[in-house]
Amino acid sequence: MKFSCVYIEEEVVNTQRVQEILQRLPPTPQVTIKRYGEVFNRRSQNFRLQKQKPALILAKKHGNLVLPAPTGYGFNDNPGFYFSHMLNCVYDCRYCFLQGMYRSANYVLFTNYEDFATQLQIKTHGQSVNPVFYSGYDCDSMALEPVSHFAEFFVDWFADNPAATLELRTKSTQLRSLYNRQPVSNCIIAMSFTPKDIYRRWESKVPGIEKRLDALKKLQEQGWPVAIRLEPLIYESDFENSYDQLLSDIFEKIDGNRIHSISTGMFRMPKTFFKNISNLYPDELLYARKYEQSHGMIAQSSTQEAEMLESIEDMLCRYVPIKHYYRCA
Amino acid sequence: MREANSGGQVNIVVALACEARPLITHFKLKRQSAEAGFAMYTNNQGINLLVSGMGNLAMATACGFLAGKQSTAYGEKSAWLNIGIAGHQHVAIGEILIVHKVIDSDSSNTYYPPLMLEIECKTTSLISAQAPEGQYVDDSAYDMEAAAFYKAASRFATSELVQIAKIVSDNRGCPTEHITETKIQNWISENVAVIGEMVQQLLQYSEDYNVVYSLPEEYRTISKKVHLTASQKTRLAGLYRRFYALGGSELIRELNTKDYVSAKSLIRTIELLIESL
Ligand code: SF4
Repeated sequence: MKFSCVYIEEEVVNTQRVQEILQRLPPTPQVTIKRYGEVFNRRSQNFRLQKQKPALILAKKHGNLVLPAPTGYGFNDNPGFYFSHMLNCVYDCRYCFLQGMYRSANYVLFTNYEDFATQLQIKTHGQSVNPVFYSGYDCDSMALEPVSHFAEFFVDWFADNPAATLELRTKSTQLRSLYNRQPVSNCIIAMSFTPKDIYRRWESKVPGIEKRLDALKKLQEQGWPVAIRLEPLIYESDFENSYDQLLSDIFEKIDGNRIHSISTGMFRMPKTFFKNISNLYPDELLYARKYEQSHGMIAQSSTQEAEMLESIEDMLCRYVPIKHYYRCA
Repeated sequence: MREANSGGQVNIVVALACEARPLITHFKLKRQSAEAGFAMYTNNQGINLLVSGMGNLAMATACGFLAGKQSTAYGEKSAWLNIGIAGHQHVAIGEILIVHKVIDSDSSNTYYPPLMLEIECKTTSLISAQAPEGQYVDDSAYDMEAAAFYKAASRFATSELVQIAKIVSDNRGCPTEHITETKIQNWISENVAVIGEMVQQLLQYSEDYNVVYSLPEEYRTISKKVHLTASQKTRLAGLYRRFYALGGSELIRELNTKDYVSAKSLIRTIELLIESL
């Protein structure tokens, strides 16, 4: 993996993990910084230009490292939390809200994994029911794995803490660290898919659908709990055909009876993010279309949403027991 | 200078006339009539060069002057490149370095020019100080103008379009006393191919930016035909962009051939058309 530069916070520069990460990189200029915000949050940045030459920022995350998941986010009613060891993603999905959330396209990797683990422990102990921890909310969980060894560390932690469940949300096929170990029953690998035409148009740099399905199939065969995320659902006039094809492709490889879960999630985002992205991509059809606005959120029309959900849910019944299905808010 | 909306532009700013000479020859730049005491050169490939004079104030004023001359209402941005000489503790004399961190020694402000250039050369941090530094204490380069340049230029362009490259003129073994105008000219000449590559890449970035963010030609035409208030200009610009993204460029061209009694009626017509797309 190539970065234009590695910025390293003074506080972590001499840690073993940072030194190991640096050894995994090809020769890259290294610049010491005080806090990651100096580079990540500075003014006068263009996400789109920066995406052509992104840098890696190695930092320490302070404060609340594990946060309550938004209502309706998860696959069950157990207490849900999310944590982000990274900000931003190596892929470039045009529909991704991260483009509207951050000024910078650089990748921040928080390297104090042990502090995350301490907070996971605290959250796990405070619950009467097993909590679920979601990774991959502000990034892709696995895309930077060859550099970060994030999953290697955290899957170990969850293997030792079966009272907590981890969902690793990803579109990556960098799954070697999972293949190389025994499956962990409380670690779910959730992969997101959209139909081919949306993939081609709006999922730049993301591994192909076939490749992702092969990777997920391999995990399922090894005994890992795998999940499918049909996200985001973007309305197109021929969506029925596209989803029919996508589901047929998915369940040709994945055993629907043995999946952990399958979910749908709409293309929606806060108005401020939408506005930022529209300004960033004034030439982008996805953001020029007409949307509805309510409670500070931009969404497709409720008719379109309902039409898609009804139709896709009908199709899903052909492949998976309905108890495995949920709608993600 | 080039006409607006014709692709990328790069503004090279140097402090000294002897730094400018090899660049003027290489890029075939023509002198423009001197304005505000600045020597300015340009060609029809989108490359402009300004000699600022030495020091913070001169550099900041030069950047402001050039940006003012180039400003249009259509949103184009030029890239900016500061080329100059700098001291360094141990890097060889004549070696060119791209700057990844600038420390303004007066204010202690620090800037991080994004490393956008794909050039085979070392990168460095740099301390800008108003008096030439002869100590070579840090593993950094030393100059006088880069901080002022970066601060000023990034007010006029997004930081990815603002870059700094320095050629080492003095180091521990060969201090500032040895620097002459002829030597400076030679160092720049020896690195002119690399500088040329930097300029090409910046031209491309500036063009990439302008293709997306500058307002379409059709907007320019219509905004000259109809009187628009400031808020109507913003609204109309947004509508034209949206119309384009929705694939209505043919319709826009057709719209531009018609006459409108008022800006209001023009805006309403476009809004209705967008609804129908
Ligand atoms: S893979 Fe996910 S996080 Fe990455 S760009 Fe796409 S939507 Fe965003």
